[in-house]
Amino acid sequence: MPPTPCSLCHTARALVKRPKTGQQVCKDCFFEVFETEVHNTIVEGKGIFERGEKVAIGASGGKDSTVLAHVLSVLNKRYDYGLDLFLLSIDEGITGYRDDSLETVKQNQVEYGLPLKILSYNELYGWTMDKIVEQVGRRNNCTFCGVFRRQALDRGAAQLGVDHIVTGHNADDIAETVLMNIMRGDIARLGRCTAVTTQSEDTIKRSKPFKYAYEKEIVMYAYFKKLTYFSTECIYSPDAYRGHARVFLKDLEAIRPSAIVDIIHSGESFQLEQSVQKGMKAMQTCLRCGYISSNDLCKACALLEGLEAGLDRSALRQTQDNSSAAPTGHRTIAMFDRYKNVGQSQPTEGIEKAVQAIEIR
Amino acid sequence: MSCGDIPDGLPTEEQGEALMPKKQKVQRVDKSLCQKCKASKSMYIIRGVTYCKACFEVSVSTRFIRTMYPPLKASYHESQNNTSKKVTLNQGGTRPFPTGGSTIIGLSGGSGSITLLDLLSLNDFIGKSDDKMIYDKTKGEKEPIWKRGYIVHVDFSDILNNNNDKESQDRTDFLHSWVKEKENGYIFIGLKAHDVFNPNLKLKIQSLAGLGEDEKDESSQDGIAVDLKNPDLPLFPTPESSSSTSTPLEQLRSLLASLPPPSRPSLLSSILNHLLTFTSIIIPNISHILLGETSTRQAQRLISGTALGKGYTLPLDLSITHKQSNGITKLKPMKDITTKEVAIYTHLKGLNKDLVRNERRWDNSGPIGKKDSRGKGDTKSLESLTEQFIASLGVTHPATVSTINRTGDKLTFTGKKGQGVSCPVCEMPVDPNALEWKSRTALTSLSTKIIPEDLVSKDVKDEENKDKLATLLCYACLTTFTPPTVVSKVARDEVSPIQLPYYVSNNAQYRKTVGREEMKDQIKDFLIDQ
Repeated sequence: MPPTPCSLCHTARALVKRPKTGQQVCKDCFFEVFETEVHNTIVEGKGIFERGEKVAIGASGGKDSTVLAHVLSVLNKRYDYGLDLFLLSIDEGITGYRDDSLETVKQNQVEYGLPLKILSYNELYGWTMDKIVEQVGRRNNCTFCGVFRRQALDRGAAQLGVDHIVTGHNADDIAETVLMNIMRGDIARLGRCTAVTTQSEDTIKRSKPFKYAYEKEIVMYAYFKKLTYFSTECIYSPDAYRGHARVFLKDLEAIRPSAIVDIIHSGESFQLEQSVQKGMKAMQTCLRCGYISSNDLCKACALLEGLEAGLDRSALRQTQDNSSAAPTGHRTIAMFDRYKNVGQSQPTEGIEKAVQAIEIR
Repeated sequence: MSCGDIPDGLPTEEQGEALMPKKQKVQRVDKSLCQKCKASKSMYIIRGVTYCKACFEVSVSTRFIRTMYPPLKASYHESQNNTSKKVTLNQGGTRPFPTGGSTIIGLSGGSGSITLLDLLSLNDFIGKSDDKMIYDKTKGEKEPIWKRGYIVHVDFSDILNNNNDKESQDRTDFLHSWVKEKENGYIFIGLKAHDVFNPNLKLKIQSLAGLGEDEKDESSQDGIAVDLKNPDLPLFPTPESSSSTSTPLEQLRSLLASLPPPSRPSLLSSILNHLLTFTSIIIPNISHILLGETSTRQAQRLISGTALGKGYTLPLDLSITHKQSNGITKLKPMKDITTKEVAIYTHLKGLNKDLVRNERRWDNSGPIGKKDSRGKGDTKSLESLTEQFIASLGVTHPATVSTINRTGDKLTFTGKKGQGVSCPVCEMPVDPNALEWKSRTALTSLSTKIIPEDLVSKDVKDEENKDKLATLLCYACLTTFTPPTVVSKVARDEVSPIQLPYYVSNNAQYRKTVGREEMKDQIKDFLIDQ
């Protein structure tokens, strides 16, 4: 049987079948089509980025952030986005998991020549995930980690003086989130989870350039480009609710591969009734740490109070309507200054800028 | 003592304050008794509440009426505002307002629609005459809501595999007999799925409804065919003479065989909706189409609709009432009742044994090729996978169905109701830029690569000037008709182009852009040659 030619260039021999479209393509065309789709996501409409923007890539050492760092570096040069790229990593303090994946991030730093900042839960909150799980147990610990990580990324970005955070959330993640928010009745999140860029008042912009990129294609890209990444799942990921949505999504994909982008399309079309939108709480700042919040206390401060009080899972139910100061002796989160490093000279500037300054044209 | 300790260990009355307050006694519920009337023996437990038979029936009936009340009240007041002669009705706060029209009732033969018809009959909501409301006040009868009821059943058994299996057989006659027994003056209209390829469908409906038939339209009814192997879905006109060699059943089977299995239930659902809507247009003075969709089915529809890309029109699909562009309203009075409750209801009424058939079995329509993709447990469609998923999730998370439905109720349609273009297949509003969105998020060609001339087939060059169905479809139907990259032998064996149902042809013709040649042909007598 003669070899199948690539469906895109019609000359080279097809080596892979695209999970998204089922097309049989050669390696070079696969790289090109993958990168072009990400570029289309970035430039669509008014575009995600502005020229000269400082962008922090949320780097965990996993496949999504590793491939994101690579692709963004490539596209930044190819299409001259004019971005200043940084790597920002969060150490949750999970022995045997996070310490290993951070080594991968340090490798990324060397490979792509991007400055790296690592912020740890211990440094910010005085707690590691190991200690949290020891006190709280293995159920609902993802809530603590997710809340703490979100604030940690914003704080790390503020310390770097960046304007924008990009994360490696891919199409599978977003489709799972849409399904999960419908099933849990989380209207507020359903309304914003498909946006490629999200920004509230006084928070740093966050974007997801891999919004339409299939997880399988990201793995395929990393494999053929021989990129190194850390592939083990978090040792504390329990039977979380998201697991139900993930299994269901994989089953849908097996029947119809386009189901993932079809779900994202549906999610983008959803609009909430005006009465529901008006009923949502207005944003304010946390009375203790100054982070953005819809209540007197942000979720991180409420969870931390629960942990400091020695509570187990009931730490999740700590009230956020609490205008009093933290009890004496309890650790608190440092005040958040969004604009602390804006306008100041940076001790570690993006290496790209440094190289450009000495480049001979 | 100041610390509150009692030295001798025995509390006295005065020292009672020092003791820890006693825990309040928890009221334990006796599950053997009905929690509603607290008198009869409980028979069923629904969401932790026990019911006797009578209270269960009342609970179902009350929710049924409560769901119908607001939309019928709203449409009654709207109709009053439009007339000069106003009539004040005192419905006592419980009975829905009369509509002044007749109604279509969709009867699939499942628990939901059987229960719907039973409740309508028990409450005397349907009258027996098209002319005027017939009821005897002296006997305590109340004014019916609708003048007459037309029961529409669409049979799909001819296109199912294994139609020798008892579960998949045609039950039209059986349902017809059951409806006749009710003696409510219902008119039964039994249709077949392949009637969408029947050029005389209008006459058939008129005949079954006992209406005077229009004269048979002797002019030819041209259809259109589509090349399903081309992603642009080019259309080809097919004169009536060319389609007369195949029967409507063969044409539907051919269309189903050309589509991948996951796309077939979606197409059959569009066909069912069209037949109900078309019947409501043919029969005069229809104000509503009543559907027996339960809350469980609604939750499944929200999730499967999301997975099919129907997010734009889901708010219309899920709402209790949906007024269509033809002025007829779809109403779902069973929306607050779960599938479990209607199953108990039909069991309670002794209807289960031979009457109720809950599964549509659309997964078994059309041939299945070896290369056709399948899901867990050999499921072939997103809809059946969703049903299984929600059923299994409901075991560990009992509030799943109600939470999903509450989420769906908060979504709103972003387009302009009654305006805008409709998809020729599903007849729902078309989401803007569906084709452009698809092509942007999943590239199937690269602008940097040029296709060699010898690889561009003559057919493709010829088809460049054809009208394209892809530009007319909504996102979900575009996905339904998009050819898979790996085509099973079954689909490849089907001859292209494939005939489309007449209603799709008519809708597509209506939206066709007029080409320059056609324009020139219309004005040729007025052009001055230069």
